[in-house]
Amino acid sequence: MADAATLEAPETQPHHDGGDHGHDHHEHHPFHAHHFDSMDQQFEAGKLGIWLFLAQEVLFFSGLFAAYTVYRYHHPEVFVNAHTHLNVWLGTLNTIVLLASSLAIAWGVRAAMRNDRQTILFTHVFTLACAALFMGVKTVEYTHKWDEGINVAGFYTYDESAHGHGTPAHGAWHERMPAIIATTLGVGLLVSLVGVWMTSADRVVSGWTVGSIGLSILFIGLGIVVAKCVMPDARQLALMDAAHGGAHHAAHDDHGTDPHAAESHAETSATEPAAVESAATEPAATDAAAAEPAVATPPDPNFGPANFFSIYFIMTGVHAVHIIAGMIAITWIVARTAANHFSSDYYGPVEYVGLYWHLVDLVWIYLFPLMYLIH
Amino acid sequence: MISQSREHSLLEAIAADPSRKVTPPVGPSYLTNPPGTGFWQGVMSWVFTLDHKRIGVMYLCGIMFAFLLGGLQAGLVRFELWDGTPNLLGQTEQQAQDAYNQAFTLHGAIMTFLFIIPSIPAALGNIFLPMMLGAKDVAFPRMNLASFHLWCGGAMFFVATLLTTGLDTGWTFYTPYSTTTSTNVILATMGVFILGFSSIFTGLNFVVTVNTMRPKGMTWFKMPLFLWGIYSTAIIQVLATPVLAITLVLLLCERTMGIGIFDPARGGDPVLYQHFFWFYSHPAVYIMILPAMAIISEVIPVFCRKHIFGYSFIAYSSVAIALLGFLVWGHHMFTSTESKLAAVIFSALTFSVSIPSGIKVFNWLTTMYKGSIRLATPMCYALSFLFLFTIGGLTGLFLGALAVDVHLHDTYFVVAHFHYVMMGGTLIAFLAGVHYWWPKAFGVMYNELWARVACLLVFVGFNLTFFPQFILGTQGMPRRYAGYKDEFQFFHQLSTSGFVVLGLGLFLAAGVLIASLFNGRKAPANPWGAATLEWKCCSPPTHHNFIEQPWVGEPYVYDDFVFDPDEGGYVEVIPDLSRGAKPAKQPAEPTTV
Ligand code: HEM
Ligand SMILES: [Cu+2]
Repeated sequence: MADAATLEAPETQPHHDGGDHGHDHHEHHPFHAHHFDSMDQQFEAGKLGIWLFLAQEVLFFSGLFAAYTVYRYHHPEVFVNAHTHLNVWLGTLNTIVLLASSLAIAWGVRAAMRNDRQTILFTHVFTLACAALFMGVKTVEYTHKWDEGINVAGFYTYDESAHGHGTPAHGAWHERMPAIIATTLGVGLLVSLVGVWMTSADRVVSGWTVGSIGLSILFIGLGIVVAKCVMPDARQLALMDAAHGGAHHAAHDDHGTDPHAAESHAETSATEPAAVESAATEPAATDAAAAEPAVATPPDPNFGPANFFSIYFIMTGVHAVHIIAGMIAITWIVARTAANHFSSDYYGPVEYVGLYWHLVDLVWIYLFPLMYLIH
Repeated sequence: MISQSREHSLLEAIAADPSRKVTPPVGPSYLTNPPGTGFWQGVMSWVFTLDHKRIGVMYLCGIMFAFLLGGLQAGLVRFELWDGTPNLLGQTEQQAQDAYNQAFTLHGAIMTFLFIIPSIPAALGNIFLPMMLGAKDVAFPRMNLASFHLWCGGAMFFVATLLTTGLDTGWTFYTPYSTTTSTNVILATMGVFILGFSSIFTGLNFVVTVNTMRPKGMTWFKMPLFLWGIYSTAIIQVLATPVLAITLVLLLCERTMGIGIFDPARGGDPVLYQHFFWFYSHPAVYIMILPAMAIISEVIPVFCRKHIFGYSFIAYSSVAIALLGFLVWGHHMFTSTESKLAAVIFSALTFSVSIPSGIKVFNWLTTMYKGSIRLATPMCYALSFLFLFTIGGLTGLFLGALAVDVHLHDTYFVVAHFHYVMMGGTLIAFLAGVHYWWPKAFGVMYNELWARVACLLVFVGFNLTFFPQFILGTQGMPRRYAGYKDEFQFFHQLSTSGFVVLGLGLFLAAGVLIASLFNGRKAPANPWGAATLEWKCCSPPTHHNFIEQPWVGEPYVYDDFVFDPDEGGYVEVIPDLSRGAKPAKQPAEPTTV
């Protein structure tokens, strides 16, 4: 459309001649930044911006996925073996929780487009609750492993042979858990109630903000409780193991993948100083050496479950950091919705945060099968 | 090229009808605050400004400080190498060697992460990209400010590294040494991590700004080439930097928690680190050179008064370099356990990158052909760029050739190569840009004569410093050693002497520019007769850049510009609407593609 009027008067300042234009009401929108010509342009800019940010996020994670791929390619057996320590039910639960949250937040964006303030609020608060539940479940998963000595390679003390023979859990996290549950539930409930009270006392924005924070804490606690129900604690595990006569332990052995079998390869590739060292510290490995057939590239004897868990903790840890960032962003949206900032004219931030949240979920959708479901 | 008769007719036209002369109205400079602003208010008006120009100026000051810091380290390195025994930087030979390792590491890291990468995009790009679009600001001014604050944060980590135990890993932080050395790897890598996000924010902002804020009439292929270059750079910044970020996170975890990913003793692979690192850092060399090429593409046509030759080739070649740059990282690992097949493939891909670079060089030369060349300071720098970058690029091909690299890897040949491209290319182009835009950014003209003398000194000094290093490299002098055999001494001393000349040249250039702030002639709106939009507002611009929306014309058509002695600069004679000129802004839809 060649706008003849403006062609003739190029000096016209867009901001001072609003009266002649259909864009009039946009110009005075309180959230219209002065350097954009129109609200549409502002929205498009924000949208492209968030997409680029997501591209950046994908590449950030891609480094981790690359590391995962390289090491799994070289040591498939270690991955298959080590992943059995992960609880598939908890992983599934978290996947469902995140999928639900994604659905909710998408609904919320739709609500923003339709000026439906109540629905934006409730969907976002629901999303927050899901995120918190996810973090609660992760807390149980992490602490449980730490108690068992399963950690990143540098702190990995788990002893495969000692486990399953009735070794009691020795971790401190396990003992602290009831207190953590009580605190999160109590504090969460209290803060949530304060939020509700503030909302009813006409302090809507701070009320919803405080309420969201309280609800998040509360649901972390709930997540812990739920996860505890699904994942038997170490003592129960030990009992179960005793009952099953260590059957599941035996299954590991015939994979030929436990650290001892792997170490026996070391003997055949004594060229690597590190290999010699580890073989020397593990005298038990020597006898099996002669029986091993020569392999072209012997598996690295230093690579074991500890490496898998390094990757596991870094990947899920970085993902969890993103969840927390997302929770902060969602709380911000809740507060701004409460302050009545959004309407069908201006709902950019709702959509941007929603997109970010989908990405965080998407990463989990990849992490879940790669970590929990490998065969 | 604009003919003399055309110039006469333009002068006659404005004499006959002065209203055809486009003179941008003058407003309050963005550099000054309204009278009555208190001191702290004034400081805050800078530190928390959202004005892209002020952010750019702060970046300019910041990176110049970093350049000085890195330059001092370079001096330590060069003087230590005056003779073959490590004796300057420490009491004992061991101490001298340790100090030498620290000096070259911090030199490289500061120059790369704090200076070169932000130099052109964050300083000059910030000031001029929105203006070239006829826009008031970048798309996300707050993010832009955050980017600068992050830069300052990253810089502080580096200063802290410098002041504590230093750093001796080399700027590449290769494992396993970086996970075991007692120097402060953690501080430094956190600094780089933060700087990475500063760079990502800048890039993201620029992509969005160019995509969504181009004025009516400025289609992609009517954009100034500077914008194409910055745009391509920005894409690399957004897509490559996060890989560096995660690499550094892994390195930090490796160092603090022993995650074993890069540690052979724990089953990890240190070469994986190199792959990760170069997946960023090879594209990063294009973060450094593309904006430099972009400046050259602006300067050459203006000072030849001739339309740029092969506009679309230059534009596409920027994008091609950006994309191909992602595929060649393996040429840094030819000698570190890369498989033969991978090495051959990476070698071939490396050669392919030089094609778009070559296209640019030929187009610049062709632009100059039969142009009326004015050897003003920016053009002098542009000419030295052409010469030095060509040497740098060609020697890159020697290194990309697999068989040759096995001999030349980790020698001074590599050092000379990358200094020719990074310093001879990027720094020289940066200086060209600074001299070109100085009148616009600060509203004053510098002393041409002394500026050109400085340029000459820099050129001579640079070649004297780095050309001998090619010879040293071919003779087998390895890089990163504080001592050497006597046979290398001559060339090392040549190089150190060159460093002195180079330093003098750079200080002179800085002095000339700074002096101009105090006693420079007031700059006209368009001192060089350029046709891009940033010259169509007053010098220095006002807070919102354009008081009146400028006309968007062809960026490299100089037919309507004529030197007007009354103004002391060039003026645009109102273009005929029939020639397709359009006003920059219409309050209608944004131009998205
Ligand atoms: C014309 C295209 C180019 C080619 C074919 C090329 C090729 C190469 C090759 C093969 C190496 C590895 C040498 C070795 O370590 O043995 C190398 C190193 C290097 N190049 Fe280039 N290069 C080119 C342009 C550039 C540009 C434009 C820059 C920066 C502005 C640059 C910066 C570097 C740096 C910093 C290193 C050394 C890194 C280190 O080990 O510390 N190169 N180049
Ligand atoms: Cu490279």
